Amino acid sequence: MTDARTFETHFREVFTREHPSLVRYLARLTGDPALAADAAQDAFIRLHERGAMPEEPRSWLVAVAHNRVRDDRRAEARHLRLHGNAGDLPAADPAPAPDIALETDERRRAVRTVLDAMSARDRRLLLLRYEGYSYRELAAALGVSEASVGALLARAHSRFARQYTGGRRAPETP
Amino acid sequence: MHLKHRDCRQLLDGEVAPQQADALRRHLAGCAACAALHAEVERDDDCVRKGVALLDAGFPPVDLPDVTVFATRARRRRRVRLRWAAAVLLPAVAAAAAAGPAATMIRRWAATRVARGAAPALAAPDTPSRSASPNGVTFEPGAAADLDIQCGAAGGSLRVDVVAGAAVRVTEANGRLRYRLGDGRLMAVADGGPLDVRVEIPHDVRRATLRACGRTVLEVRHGVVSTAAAMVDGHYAILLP
Repeated sequence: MTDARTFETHFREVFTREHPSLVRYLARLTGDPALAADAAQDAFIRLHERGAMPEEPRSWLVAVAHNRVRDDRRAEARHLRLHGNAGDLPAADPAPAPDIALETDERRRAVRTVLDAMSARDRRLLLLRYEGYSYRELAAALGVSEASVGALLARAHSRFARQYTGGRRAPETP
Repeated sequence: MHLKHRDCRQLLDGEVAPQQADALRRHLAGCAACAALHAEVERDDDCVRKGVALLDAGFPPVDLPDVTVFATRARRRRRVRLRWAAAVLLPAVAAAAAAGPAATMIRRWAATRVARGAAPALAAPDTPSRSASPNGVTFEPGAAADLDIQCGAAGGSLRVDVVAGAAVRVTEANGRLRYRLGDGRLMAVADGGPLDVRVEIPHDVRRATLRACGRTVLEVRHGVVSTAAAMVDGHYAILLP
C-alpha cells in the first residue's frame, strides 16, 4: 500500500514536470499537436500501468511515445495506400493564423523541411537536446552509447545549420 | 591537442567535467583555430535554437490534463486485460487439472504461474537495461522482474542465436533448473519459483543476435549493442541506434 502510494506521488511529480515537455517535443517532432498530445497521454497511461518508476523516466516515456508515433505513422501510411489520398487526414502542419507574418511562416516551413530530411535519430537528438535532455537521457532514449552522444549531436547540429542556411557552411570535421 | 566538434559541443552543453572544462577554455583562449571551431559550433547551436523556436509559434499552448485520468484509464485497461486473461487461462488450467495423472507436468506449471497471482500475459512490462559485465554484454531486466525477454501475449519462439559460448544464465540460482519457453517469455523455474534470467555473450564474440518472435531484440557488433528492445504493453519499443 505504501509502495502504491509512493508510486502515485512519484507519478504525479513526473507527470506535472514532464508532460508539457513531452508534448512540446512530440509536436516539434511530428508537426502534429494532436498526435503529440495523444502519444504523450498514451505514454503516461503505460507508465501508470507499469506501477513502478523506470530508472530514467524521461527516456522511458520518450521511447514509448516514439513507438506510439511510429504506429500512428504506419496506420496513416496504410490508410493512404488503401484510400489513395490524404483527404480525411489532419494536416501535418497547422494552418497559419492570418496575423502570422508570411516570412515567419516560410521560415517555419523551411525548418520543417530540413528536419524531415534528416535521419530520425538526428532529428530526435536535436529536438530532445533542445528540450533539455542530458546526454545520459539521450543515450537511454535513443539506444546509443553516452560517449557517442556529443559527436552525434555535433554532426546533427552542423547538418541542420548547413541545410537550413542553404549549404553555404563548411562541413564539420569528424 | 586541438579540439574537435565533439569537444566544443560537450563544452557548450555542460557535459564536460569542471576540471576538463577549465582546461578546454584555457586552450580556447590561446588557440585561434580552436576558437574559430568553437564559434562555428556556437553558430550551429544558435541556428538550431532559432529554427526550432519557430516551430513552436504554430502550436497551441500545452494544457496539462487531469492526472486522475491516467489512473482511471490504466485501471480500465488492466481490468479488460484481466478479464481476457481469465477467459483464456482459467479454462486451460481447469482442463489440465481434470486430465488426470498424465497432466502432472501441466498442473505443476500452472501452479508455479498461477500461484504467484499473475497470469503470464499480464506481467508488468519492464524496460530492460544493458550493462557491461565481466562476461560480456548483459541484457537483463530491472530489479523486480522475474523474466528477461517477453515475446508477447500470443506466445512465440525465442532463441539465442549464432554464437558459440553464448549462454542463457540464471542469476542467484542453485541446484537444478528448468528453462521454459511459453506464453511469450523465457524463464527459469526452480523450486522457489521463477528466477531472473540474463543472456550473456562473451567479450571476444564479434557479432551476436538474440531474436524473439522473429524480431531481433538484441544485436551486438564488435562489442557494441546496436539494437535493443523494451517490451511495452504488447509492443516492442525498439530503440534504434
